[in-house]
Amino acid sequence: MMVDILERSACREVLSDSRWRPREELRPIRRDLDPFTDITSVSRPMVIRFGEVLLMMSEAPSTWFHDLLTRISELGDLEENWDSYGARPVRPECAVMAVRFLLSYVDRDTPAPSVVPTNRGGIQLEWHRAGADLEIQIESPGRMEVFFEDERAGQEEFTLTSNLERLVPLLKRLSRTD
Amino acid sequence: MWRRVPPKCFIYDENKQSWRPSSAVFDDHPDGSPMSVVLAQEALDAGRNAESILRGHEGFGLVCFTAGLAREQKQGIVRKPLPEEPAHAEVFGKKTKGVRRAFSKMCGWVVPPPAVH
Repeated sequence: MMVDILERSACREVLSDSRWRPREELRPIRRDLDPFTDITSVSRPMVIRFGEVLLMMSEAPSTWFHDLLTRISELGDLEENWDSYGARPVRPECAVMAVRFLLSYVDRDTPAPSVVPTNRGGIQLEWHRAGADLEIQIESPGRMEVFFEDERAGQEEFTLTSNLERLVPLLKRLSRTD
Repeated sequence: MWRRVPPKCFIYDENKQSWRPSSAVFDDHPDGSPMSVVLAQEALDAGRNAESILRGHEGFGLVCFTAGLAREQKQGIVRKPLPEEPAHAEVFGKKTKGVRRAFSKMCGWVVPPPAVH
């Protein structure tokens, strides 16, 4: 799924697909789809507002993902000095990277992360559960700083610039309930 | 020392079953200047209370940590009074991920944010 910055807009709604394509252009619904998929938005692009820009997704994600998108969208409303210590607004490019990562590696069975702005204009995704901590800091497009700590296995810290597969076992670890 | 925690920067730690600030709260200023704090005792001696530090910052919380914790994390503290904050100080030293996480886990709430009261 493609995610890109679309345009500057005064759009006030957080989630909207009705402005992008009218319903009569929907393609036929596939019968082999997961029954929990939001079938009203299958194969339709979706836009979310991020401050004064729109982030366009080539396909609307399932409805269970919308809460995460809303939380990311809200970070776009943070203005200069939002933390009272001179923080910079969150950059749309970092929001795009966060959305792309979550769409690719998080499904409905993955615990939802906390979505936190950083004072340098980035986004930090973090999980603290099942005896483990995972923090993924996105300060620029194409670069993630990762910190993982497991009560039993210790800690690791690394940077990812392309292949994110190293995160898969860490996310699985967070889903454990033992 | 006191530091303000803005909305959207406190997280629920299921491992600790409590709300705490994200490690992202404890970084240096984007322009490179050291992390700002308020010297709690100095503020109290001047007749101020913790709530006064949050005046004009709706939805924020306030956390405290000791100078001892800062030193354990190889940080130094220097007074730097400002016209708008006479009890202002800076915590200098490299803010590695480990340092920021230590502050976020070891600090305590002085004024919890309204959302997690």
